[in-house]
Amino acid sequence: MRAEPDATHGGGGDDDDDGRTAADAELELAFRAGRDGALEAAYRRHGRTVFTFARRAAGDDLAEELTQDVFVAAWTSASRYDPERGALGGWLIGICRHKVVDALRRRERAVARIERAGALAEPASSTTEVDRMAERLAVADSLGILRPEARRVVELAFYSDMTHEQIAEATGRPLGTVKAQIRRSLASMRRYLEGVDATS
Amino acid sequence: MPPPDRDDQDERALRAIRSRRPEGAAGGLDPDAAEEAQLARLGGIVRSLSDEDIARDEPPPGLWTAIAARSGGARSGGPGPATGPVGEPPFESVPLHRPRRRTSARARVLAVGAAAAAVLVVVGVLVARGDDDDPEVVASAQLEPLPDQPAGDARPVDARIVEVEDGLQLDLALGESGLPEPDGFYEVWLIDPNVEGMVSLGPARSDGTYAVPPDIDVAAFPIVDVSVEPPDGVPTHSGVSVLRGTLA
Repeated sequence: MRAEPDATHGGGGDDDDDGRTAADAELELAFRAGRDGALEAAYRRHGRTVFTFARRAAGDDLAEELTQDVFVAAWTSASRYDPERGALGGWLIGICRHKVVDALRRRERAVARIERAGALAEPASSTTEVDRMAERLAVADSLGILRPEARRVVELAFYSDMTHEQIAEATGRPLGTVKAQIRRSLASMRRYLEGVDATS
Repeated sequence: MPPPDRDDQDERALRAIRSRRPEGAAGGLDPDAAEEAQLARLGGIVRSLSDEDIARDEPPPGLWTAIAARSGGARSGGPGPATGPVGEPPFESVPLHRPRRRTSARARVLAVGAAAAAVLVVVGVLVARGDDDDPEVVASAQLEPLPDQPAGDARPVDARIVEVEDGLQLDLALGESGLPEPDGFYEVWLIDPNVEGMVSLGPARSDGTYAVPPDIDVAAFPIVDVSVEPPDGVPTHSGVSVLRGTLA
């Protein structure tokens, strides 16, 4: 027996060209407007990713402080967040990237001063690595909002060399649905990446 | 009906996310080229995703309180749960196909198949090992058709793990096995010896090459398995394997 995954995940908004769920679109507007509760909602939605990023890139000792810094800074400059320029989740990751890089530079200088290196718990060290990590976390989150049936289609789009027609046949879905799912998923992923880039 | 140019766009997008253009080959001022460069970048990122990129660490419960205090006007929305506001994970932590590890009732079905395969593959291993013209072969196996499966007449086929520039790759020319056209498609997997964990290397490819995720130790997933995946959109292993062998 196959357990068919629950297809309700991901909410509505199938026709959104940019791949956002209605809930995300609402949160983004509320955040930009600085509305009551929007910061907490953003933290509930994206706090784990920001904390994960800070921890893996800068290490345990800085993770909490950096996560705080990210959300405080984001809230302070919430009016500068523009949903047209990218996803809120990506934007927060982008802010975190800056905080992490600053923290690593400060620490590098401190470490150089006392001539001790390598004793810290293997956080990512170079800016390039931090950038890559930001990209991967952002794309992973954007994939997380895909419905299970769309995920299969997207998987075939990225990993196979099948045509749209073959993907439709292989997944038993109409060609139009397959194309729409790929289009929507790509839009969602690109919006996340654009959010990350919007902070640079 | 979508306008024809939309179909063109769809085709271009599919090509772009699969292209392996070198990093930084951006498109300059041409908006189409810039978009394709962005899609190519996206494809590279998606293909590089590992388990760790999908997993999320849980922040300590006090973190939100500290943020709320520092941000002044932030409302806590009344008495929240004592454990802090981070409730349900907002994202479902399921990667696309890699690395996907599954332990389920279906593993039992697979385990039966693996036992049968173990008998069959003994002769097959090590065959490709002495290939002098391919010095980078890390391991190899001969995949044998499993009994009682839809591709009964298939021929054994060699699989090899080789070192390539950016890691390990499985070479498996499925075309040589004479498998019939599937109802759905074939998918390639690496499975651990207990048949409890598995990693998908993706749907069958005509070029016969499959990148092994960088965080996967091939020695821990030595069974190479080819399954038939029915057209039902379910990403887990169907439980119907057609070819299997163990790397050595």
